[in-house]
Order: sequence, then structure tokens, then C-alpha cells
Amino acid sequence: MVRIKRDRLADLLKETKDVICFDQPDLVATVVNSKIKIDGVYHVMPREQNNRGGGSLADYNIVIELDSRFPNYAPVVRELGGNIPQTSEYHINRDGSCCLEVWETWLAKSKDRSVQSFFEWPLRNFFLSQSYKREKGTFPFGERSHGDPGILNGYAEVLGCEPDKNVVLYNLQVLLHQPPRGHWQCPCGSGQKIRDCCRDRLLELSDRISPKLARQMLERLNGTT
Amino acid sequence: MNNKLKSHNDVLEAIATAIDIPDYMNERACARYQSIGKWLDREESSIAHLAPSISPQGSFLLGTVIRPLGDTDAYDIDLVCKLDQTKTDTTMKKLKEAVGHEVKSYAATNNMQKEPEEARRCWALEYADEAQFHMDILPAIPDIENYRKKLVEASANDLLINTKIVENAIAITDKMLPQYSNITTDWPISNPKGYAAWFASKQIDTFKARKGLLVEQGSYASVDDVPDYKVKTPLQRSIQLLKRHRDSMFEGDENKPISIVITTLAAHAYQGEESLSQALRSILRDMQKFIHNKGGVVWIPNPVNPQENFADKWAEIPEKQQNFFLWLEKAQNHFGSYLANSYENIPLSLQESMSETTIKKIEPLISSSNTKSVSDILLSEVEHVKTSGPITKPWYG
Repeated sequence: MVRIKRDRLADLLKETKDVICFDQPDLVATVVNSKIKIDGVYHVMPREQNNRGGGSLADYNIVIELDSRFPNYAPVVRELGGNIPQTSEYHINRDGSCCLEVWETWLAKSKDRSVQSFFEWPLRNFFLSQSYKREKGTFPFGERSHGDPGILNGYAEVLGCEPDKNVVLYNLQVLLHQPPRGHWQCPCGSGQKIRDCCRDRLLELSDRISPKLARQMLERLNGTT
Repeated sequence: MNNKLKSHNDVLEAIATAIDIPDYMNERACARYQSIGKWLDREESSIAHLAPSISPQGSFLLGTVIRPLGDTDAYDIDLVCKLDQTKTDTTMKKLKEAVGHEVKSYAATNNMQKEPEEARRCWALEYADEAQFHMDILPAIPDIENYRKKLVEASANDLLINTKIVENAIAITDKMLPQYSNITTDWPISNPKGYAAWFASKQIDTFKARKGLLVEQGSYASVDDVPDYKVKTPLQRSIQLLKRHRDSMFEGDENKPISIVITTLAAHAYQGEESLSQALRSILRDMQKFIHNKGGVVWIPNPVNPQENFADKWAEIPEKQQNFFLWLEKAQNHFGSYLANSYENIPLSLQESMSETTIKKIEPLISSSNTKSVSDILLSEVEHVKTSGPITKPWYG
């Protein structure tokens, strides 16, 4: 078991190094206390051609901790350079970590859950948003409500249902089975059976939200008030 | 000065131009090998009846030659000397000696100080004068049939139908082979012109576009008038930069990554980008994806001969494989570091690997930072995320 964990960590370190080597040359990845620590300057790089002559749009001094259970466990990201006010308004948690997203919603949205994909989307989106906020005063992709309502809203968004706790919980229970049971009542509230109603939509959903992820979401939501 | 460098792309282009073989040197090399060609084909030549033809191969043919690192080092120019013979007419040994005889008489007539040296597959000719060339002349005969057979064995149907590739296949000599002195059909095969045709296909659009640009600028009357060496695509430029980086990292180390490996992987990874900085991005990110694993053996297939592995020495000498990945990691880091920061400051690591004298020439031409606001760019980057990828919303828990 310990061996498996160590191998996983070595693989994750290699994967991380491959990702940052060219795209984030000023970050360094090492193993510290059985986690991957990624430390240094993060560059928000443009993807589209522009006439600035190249180079990053903004730089942030950061440290990221990747658990060996990544992607199931959310990475912990901290901004250390004082470029983001350490307040909830800027989505910095009380412990100083950056709140990139309700993590399971990212897992549910993205088929690609590699380190590369994490860097390309949630991480970059967060720092791009922070730069945008500083320039224009708003977060360009929207913000989640703080605390439990944010979790509920995020889950409802990926499930495509009402942000009602019971509805979301029932949707997740349906997804505990793969494929979803056809004779169960459809979670859309039509009163029909799944097989006669939203079967295709639920099959597509269960493709992205595995029973394992559905359970993780269910447990988290059950823990909210 | 109005040609100031205003972006990463401009600066990288300037570095690549500075390490490129200068036009006069290129023209001189052409003149030299054409003069050898004329000598081999002169009336009194012992091989004149075999219609000898000399043509460049390797980086000289591909347009990826770079200046040697040291000022006194020579350019390596690889040439093929093809005779119109078949494997039933001659042996590898006879062919090698027939070409060698004439190459030697050429050297003697031209008062060259050193006699041509015989290497395993070629004759090495050294110009000790101001020209600073090493020329390797590879004796060869046409070998279309055998090449076709190999392609059929490898089920390489796309290559089989490509006449530009098939018709240029050659058989070459190798004095280490036991059948070297025998009449045999078993000769080593090669296809440098076919490889060049494959390489050209990877950059065909940018190559044409750049020739078109020179015509538009009034330098030439038509695209056909533009000599190939006057045009350098972002793929060729990237390869030049990577080769220079390799040279300064390994200097004389014989286990350094070989040019054909860098060239092949770069050409695979190149996506037709118009700018050098974008091309370098694709190449450095993706080049290792084209290294295959064939039954546990690391395999970098020759794109015009899938049965040939450009990494065949890696199994025998693991240091070669380690060096390749070590080099790639450094190249990614050094070029990545430059591209992630302002174009004004060339990081020390990159300065060292491109050679400081080269950078000293470039630095005064870099215009000071262009202070355009990032505001509009942020807007377009945000739109890009909204249309192409999953957005994420920050939360507070």
C-alpha cells in the first residue's frame, strides 16, 4: 500500500514536471511530506496572438500542494506575493488558500482531469480572473455564493437541475448507479420513469459523474446545512 | 534604426539569423561541390561514363545548417555522389574506390593539403583554406526496387505512392559489412532526397508564403526565382535554435542528441505556425510525443523508411537516451523561461546556450518595452476561455 502511494507520487511528480517545464519555467516541483509542492512564479500566459510582443499578462508568486490522491483531492493553492487581497471578496479562504472552485464541479465538468488540465483551466482561470478583477472590477466567469449555498449552486449547475438541496441529492442518488436505473422516478420531476423520460441526458451525465464522484458529492452536500 | 526588435518572435528570428550560415558561405559551399561535380563528370574522368551527379544531403539540403560554435571550426557539408550503376554491375567496394579515385585526384589537382580520408561509408574532404568546410562524399547508386520492397514489407502505402520519395532511394556502401566486396543485392539503403521531400511537405505553406513575400517586396520577379536558401520557415529556424542549444550544451560529446532526431521530431510537431515563437512552443511541447515504443524498444522511425530507427543506438548506449531527455528538459526550460518573461530580457541560461557573442550582437537592436496595456488582452483571453473551455467560478468555503 505504501509502495503504491510512493509510485503514485513519483508518477505525479513526473507528470507535474512535464507540465511546468516549458509552460511554467519559473515554478519548481518537489516532494515534501508525501505531497507535491510546486513553488515559484506563476505566469498567466496569453493563448491568443496579441501585439504586446509576447510574455506573460501577469505574474503571481504561488505555492501549490498536490495530494497523491489528485485529482480526487483538490490541490491547495496559495498566493504569497501580496498581489491578491487576502479577503473573501477575492476568494481567499481564512487559511490563506485560494478558492479556485467547488472542486467536484470541476471534476464533473472536465473529462480531462490531468495536472495539465488543472493548470490549463481552474488554475489559470483563477489567476486570469484575479488580473481581470483588478483591471475591470468584476470576476469575468462569475462567482459562487460563499459557503454551503455555493456548493449547492455548483452541483445544481453541473447536474442541470434546480438548486434545491433535495432535488440535487436525488439526482446524485440516481448517479450512484451506472447506468442509472431505468425504473426509478426521473429526477426532473415529470413523474415519469427515467427510461421514459431523461434517460439519455442521465446516461451522458453518468459518463462524467462516476458513482464514486457522485458519492463524494453526496457526502459533502449531506454535511452542509 | 527602423528594424528594431519588438517581440519574442523578432528577437528569436534575429538570434536564428545570426547563427545561420551566411549567404556568401552558402554560395561558396555550392560552388565547391559543383566544382567537384564537374571534375567527376569531366571527359577524362574514370567514372564519366557512369553519369556521376553530386547533390547535398542533410542539413545543407534541409536549410538547417548553423555556424559552428568555435570561430575556427568548420561547416560539415554532406554530399551524395550518385553513379548510374546497378548492383549486378559492381560491388560496394568497387563503387567506393571508383569515387575515391576521382575525389583524390580532385584534391591533388586543387592542391589541397590533406588527402581525402576514407570513412566507413564516405570520403571525407577537408578544405584547409579560408572556406572552412568538411565535405563528406557518400558514394551511391539508385535503388528504387529494393526500396519499394522495403516499403511493401512495412505496409507504408502512403510512401509507396509518393513518387518524389520513392524515385530518390539510393543504395550506399559500408566497408564494415562482410558482403562489402561481393556482388550482392544486400546493400544498405538510404533516401536523403526522399527525407527532404517529407520535410518540405511539413512546411510547404509557410515556405511558399515566405517566397511570395520576397516577390511582393520586389526582391525577385517570381516565386520560382527565389533560391530556397533565401527563405527560412519557422520550422527551419526552430531547428537551428535547438541545434545551437544542443551544441553548446554538449560541445564535443559524441553522445549528444543527433541532428536527424531533433529535426525529425521538430518537423512532426510543427503545425504550420507563422511565427517562430509559436512554432518553438509547439515543437518544444510536443516533440517527445513522436518518440514511439516498439515492443519495448525506443523507436524514432525514419519518416521515409519506417524500418529504420533513428534512435537505434539508444538501447546500446543508454547515455544517448539520457542526454536527449536531459537536453530537451533544458531546452524547454531555457526557451520557456524567455517566452514567459519580457522579450527585452534574454535570460542568462539562454544567452549562454545561444553563445554570448551572438546575443551581444542582438541586444542593441531590442527596442525597449512596449507598454501597451494588458486590459484589452485580458478581455480577449477571457472570451477565449468562455468559448473554448470549461469556465470555473471562484468560491469561498
